[in-house]
Amino acid sequence: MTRSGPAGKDPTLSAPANTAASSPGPELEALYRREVSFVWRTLRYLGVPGPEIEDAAHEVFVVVQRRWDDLDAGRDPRPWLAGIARNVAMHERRRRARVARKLDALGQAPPPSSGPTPEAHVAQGEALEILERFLDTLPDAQREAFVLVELQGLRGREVAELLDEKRNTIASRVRLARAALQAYLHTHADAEAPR
Amino acid sequence: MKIDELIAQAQREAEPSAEAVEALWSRLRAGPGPEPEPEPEPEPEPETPPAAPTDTAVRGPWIAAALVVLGLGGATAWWLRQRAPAPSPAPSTSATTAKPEPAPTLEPVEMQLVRGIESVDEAPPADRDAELDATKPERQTQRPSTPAPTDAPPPPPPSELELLQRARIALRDRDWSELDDLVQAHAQRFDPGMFATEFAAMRTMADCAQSTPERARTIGRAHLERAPGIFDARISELCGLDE
Repeated sequence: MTRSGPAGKDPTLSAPANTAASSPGPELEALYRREVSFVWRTLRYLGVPGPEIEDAAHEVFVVVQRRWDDLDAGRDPRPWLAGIARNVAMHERRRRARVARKLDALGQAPPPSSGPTPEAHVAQGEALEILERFLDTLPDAQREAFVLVELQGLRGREVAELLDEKRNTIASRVRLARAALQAYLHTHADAEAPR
Repeated sequence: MKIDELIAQAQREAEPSAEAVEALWSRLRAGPGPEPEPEPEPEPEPETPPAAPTDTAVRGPWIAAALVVLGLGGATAWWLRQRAPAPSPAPSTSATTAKPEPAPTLEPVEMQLVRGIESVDEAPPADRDAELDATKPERQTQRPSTPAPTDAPPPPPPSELELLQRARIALRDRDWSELDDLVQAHAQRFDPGMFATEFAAMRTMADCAQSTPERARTIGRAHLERAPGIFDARISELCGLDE
């Protein structure tokens, strides 16, 4: 998917004065201030661990700065940002998977954690942890669709375009993931019930 | 527990802190990172002996030692000139005097520059950023460990056959995400291409592997009716049609 050129650009999103220079322009800063939370959450939901998020977000905005001309000012920048964040997160996931495989081969794999139940987590204000655990159980394709549509609020059409899939495919993945989340919460709540 | 409540609370918890936002902005403002400076070395050594250490207690003995060396050098030069017409090694005395001086300490601004360069070194190279661009779903699996020169030509895109080989490896490793990427890359660059049948079958297998059993059976049946081929057995297995 390629974005169209900067036709009809919003003046607030004109190209930064110095995209190739060492410091970002005010337009990039405006975009950064507006969307850093969105990028941050996207990375987190797509599996970038907490300590790595700042580096990953930095990488995203470095790419944004370099590819500024690809940004169509007439459109919502979030799908574009989500696409970059998705690719950064994918790289990070693969890198960690490789490390995990190597550790596994060396017999040093960390034991799977069996934390508290979802209800206990929520009581401690750890909804995010539950959600991340659940997301880790999803296939990548489902996870991406669920994160971008359900958690990050992108439209199905935008996500379909971003992931180069049909809208029905995205809708199906989101529906399956949502059902899986319901089952996940139900299962873990049941596990706590006998206590 | 309701899903919407969980999501709303998780959204709040996933927000970056104000400190993190500012720290990240500072990093971005310090430099983009992807284009390493061609000369990452710090400032060259000054030619003249530096005067950075100003402590007279430290400088005194060095000056005395330098004078002694100069005297010895001069005497040696005079002696050599008496014996032979060869040129004296007098120039070495200046080097000798410069040698014992400690290296100049960097000013704070220079230290910042060095730190900036170090952070730039850790940033992704240009080639990799091209892969990270959302507008290019087709991606290379190799990740160079050192930043590529800015004027280096980008690696050539894989051929259709290379894509097929990589897809087969992804299929063997059951790396469905990678397989999805490769199938998409093939569709974008080669559709329909010489290996359209193979990639269609691989797409079906990837979809089946990532779908519910019921959905996988539907996908598998549809594929076998539409385009039977050499992958039928694998598709039947992966899509649960054997059961």
